[in-house]
Amino acid sequence: MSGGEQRVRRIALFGQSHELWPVAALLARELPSAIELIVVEDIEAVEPAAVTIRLDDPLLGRLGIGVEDLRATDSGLFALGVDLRDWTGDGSRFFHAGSGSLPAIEDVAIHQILLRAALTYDQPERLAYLYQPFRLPARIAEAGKFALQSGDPRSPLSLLRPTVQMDTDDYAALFRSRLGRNAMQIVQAKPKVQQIASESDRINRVVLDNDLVIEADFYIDVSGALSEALYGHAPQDWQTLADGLVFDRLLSAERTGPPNGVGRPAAARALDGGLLLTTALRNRTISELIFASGEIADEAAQKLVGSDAQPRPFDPGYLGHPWQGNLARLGGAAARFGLFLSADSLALHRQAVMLADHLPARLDMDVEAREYNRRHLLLAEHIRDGMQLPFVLNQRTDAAWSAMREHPLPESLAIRLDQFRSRGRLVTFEGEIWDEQSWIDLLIGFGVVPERHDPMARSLDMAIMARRLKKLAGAFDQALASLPV
Amino acid sequence: MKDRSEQFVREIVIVGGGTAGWMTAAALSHKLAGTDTAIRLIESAEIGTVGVGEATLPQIREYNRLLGIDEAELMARTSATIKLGIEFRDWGRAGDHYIHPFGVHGEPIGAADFHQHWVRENATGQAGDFGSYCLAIVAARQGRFDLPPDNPASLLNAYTYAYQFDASLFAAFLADYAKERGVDRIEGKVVAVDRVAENGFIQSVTLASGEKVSGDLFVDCSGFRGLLIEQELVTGFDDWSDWLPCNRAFAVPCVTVDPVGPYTRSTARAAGWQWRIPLQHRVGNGHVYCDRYTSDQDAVDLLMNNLEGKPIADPKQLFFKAGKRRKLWSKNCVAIGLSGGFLEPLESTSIDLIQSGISNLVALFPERHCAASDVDKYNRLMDLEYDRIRDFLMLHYVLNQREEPFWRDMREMAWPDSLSEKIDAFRRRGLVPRYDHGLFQPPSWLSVFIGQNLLPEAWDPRVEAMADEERSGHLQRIRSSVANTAGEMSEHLAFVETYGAGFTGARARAS
Repeated sequence: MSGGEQRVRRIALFGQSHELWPVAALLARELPSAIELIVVEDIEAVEPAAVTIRLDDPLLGRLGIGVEDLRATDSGLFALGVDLRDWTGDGSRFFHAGSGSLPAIEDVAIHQILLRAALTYDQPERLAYLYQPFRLPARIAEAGKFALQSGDPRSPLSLLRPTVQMDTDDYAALFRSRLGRNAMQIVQAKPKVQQIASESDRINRVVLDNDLVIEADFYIDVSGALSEALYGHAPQDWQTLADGLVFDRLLSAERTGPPNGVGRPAAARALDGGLLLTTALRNRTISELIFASGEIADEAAQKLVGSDAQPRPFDPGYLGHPWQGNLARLGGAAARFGLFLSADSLALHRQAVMLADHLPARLDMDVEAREYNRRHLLLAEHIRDGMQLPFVLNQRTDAAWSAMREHPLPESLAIRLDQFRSRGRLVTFEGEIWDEQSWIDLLIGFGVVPERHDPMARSLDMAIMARRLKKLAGAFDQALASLPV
Repeated sequence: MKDRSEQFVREIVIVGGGTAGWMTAAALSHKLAGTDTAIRLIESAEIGTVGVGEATLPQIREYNRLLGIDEAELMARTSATIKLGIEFRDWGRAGDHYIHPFGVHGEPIGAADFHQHWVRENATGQAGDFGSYCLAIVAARQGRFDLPPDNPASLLNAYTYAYQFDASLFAAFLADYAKERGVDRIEGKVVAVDRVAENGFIQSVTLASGEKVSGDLFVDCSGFRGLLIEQELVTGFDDWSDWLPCNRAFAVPCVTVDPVGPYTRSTARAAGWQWRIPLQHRVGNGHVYCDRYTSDQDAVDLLMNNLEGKPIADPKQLFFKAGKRRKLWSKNCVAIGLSGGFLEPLESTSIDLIQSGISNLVALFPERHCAASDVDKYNRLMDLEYDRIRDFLMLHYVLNQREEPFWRDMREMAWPDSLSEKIDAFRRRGLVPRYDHGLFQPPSWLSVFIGQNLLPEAWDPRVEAMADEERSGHLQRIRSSVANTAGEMSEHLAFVETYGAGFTGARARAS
């Protein structure tokens, strides 16, 4: 490498435990020993919180964390998705599960064949009913059962995309146990002051609240304290989601005791003016309420969650350029989406992998920053779209939920919805992160009925299709029946 | 039961035969079988087809799969050979050569990509040729081929392939296929187009014979002139000739003298480049050039003086301009093939662009009113495809170190930002473009970057996590494994024979 004196030799990583250690573990595993890693852990207590991670998460794969490691945690509980309650009206339920793609028949998607059948008999409203037998992961979860994903692509259980739920302390400890690196300095402190080089936007050094001075070539902020000192509370290019997601307050609490219902370990219940997220762990339950302050008073929120704590502001959004100069941001420093659909942990893990893949080689790191920022924007927009979709499709009548339904959509989400409503086609974009099948499940489950089916479905012999679909549904029934409760 | 049939497309008219017309007709006749959709293809024996595109990309195998085409039969009827990549000679500097393969280089070592380790090793002078780590390249150089394993045990054994075939025979093969499935071929020349007054949709075309052919959906495969999409619907043309200035070619077949390797060859010339595409029964040759830098006579002389064997036809001159229609789908007309756009044949993208047009049309197949959302989506997808291919083609030209005026100007011209950023990212840190669905993936970009002498100034720092000896050992093991696997493959033409794909010429067509 030319210009060896220009190499990055020291990296400083700042953040709170639950966001810090996943990133630190990956860097510790992959960085060469010639690059010194300084980890500055902010140990300030945080509100009770849970994280949900897919077992096929790329960060787990990179760190070699498997099912047995997750099972060994105190709080870890396996699940298949989240139970969405009351979103399309009081009493409604929809199990939102990750899923592999259903097999196409004669290159035509199953939902298109069912749509043709429903439209042929002028009963489009029956689409969701016809489609339900093919939603195997959701059916397994609804039946209070669980299975890991099968590695055999012929098995119906290969469609499963299980998750693990755990509390943030266990989560942080799991990753911390993976450090396995000697050339690392760990400091427990908070950043107090940064010194920026006058001729550039590069950070020269950071003074901690214990008066230690950290000097590094590259700084990583995962929780926002470092960025706050530099940019204040409102970074210039923060893309807020507040318009599409009107909830502006957040309150969480922990309740001891067994999970609230076997097989339904996570729920997201829509309320007038809010959304109550409940995540069951092995020995307790974490609740989080996000709500519109104009609709639910703080006292009422405390009663709903069972906490005396004061609600905090909730401002979901993301940065347009999280890597500037020699400061890269991820986690809560770069994007905040909340607990719903485990969006925050999903973002953090993807960001960590992206950062590791674009670590700067030299002090001049514009190229790496440009690519990281480009990919980060794609990631954030995908998370936004997937998270926003059920809010857009809700059928509740209160002001907050009505406003979210009626708010103009981001262009990419509008294209997806438009294409699906028009012809049942799911549009995908570069860098997709959500399962295509889950999109289709949710669209149909929330009542979107395409106006027309794929014209290619016209070429199918529907008598033959009926037999083939029945056989497939039968295989799914059998797989479901074979699992223990 | 609700009758929606009045909204269905019932009549499709394809204007123009050739590769684009018959690929479209074959695909639609297969996909719409059993739907009572009439497909008519209008072509005139008086109007010749370009018929030069003889090399393909691996994506064509997916087309064959979707249509249930027997590969050996197709190869036998089109005189096809196997293609594992394209060899580029003299593109960086005179004397350079590399192969852009249909396969990957090496396999990841630890967290870092293989090429990052190769770059690091290369800095010590110990890495060896980048191509020697790619099975498709080593096999191509040795003139060997076997079908790739379905589930390769290692990335080192992963490769794919395409064909080099006679495009005219391919069109004839597909014409048989389509006609067997009900496509109606109409001989005639379109002399007029009738449109619906209210929405501008094409209603029918009138032939020189006076016959009117009406349809719900029209596919323009009329070639460069864009009979429907441009002459009638005036959609406009994005002219990219500043970026891809080659605008003429001479093409000529010759008898085979040199080995029929499983790869196409592209040799840089003073004002363009020359192709060599070996088929089973002859070799296709051509010289692509820019008329601002050489005369037609010099261009044809250069071609004829650089044939490996005796020519078996007169050289045919072709004229073109790089670019694309502003909208490849306008109203109820979709332009597929040269009518939609043309990017020079350097990377065999012409047939692939036809295939993309067909795939996207099938995916977004409309009802009679052609919903704006479908049209917009189609145009967006095709625009993206053209943009990315343009950047990749340009890469070959701008990364040269040659001295001729043509090459100097190519090197010094203003590049699209999208290309500049890709080159900058590789030069400074070895970052390679990655797309989920793009035609050219990292192995393609890497082969051209490194093959044309652009080496990164810095590499992924994670490479340094491995000791030098350990890295060298990994690289040596990969190179040996690749060489051993290639050495066990069949000789290329022996494979073709064993596969039952030997050219049967007239006998196959007559049966």
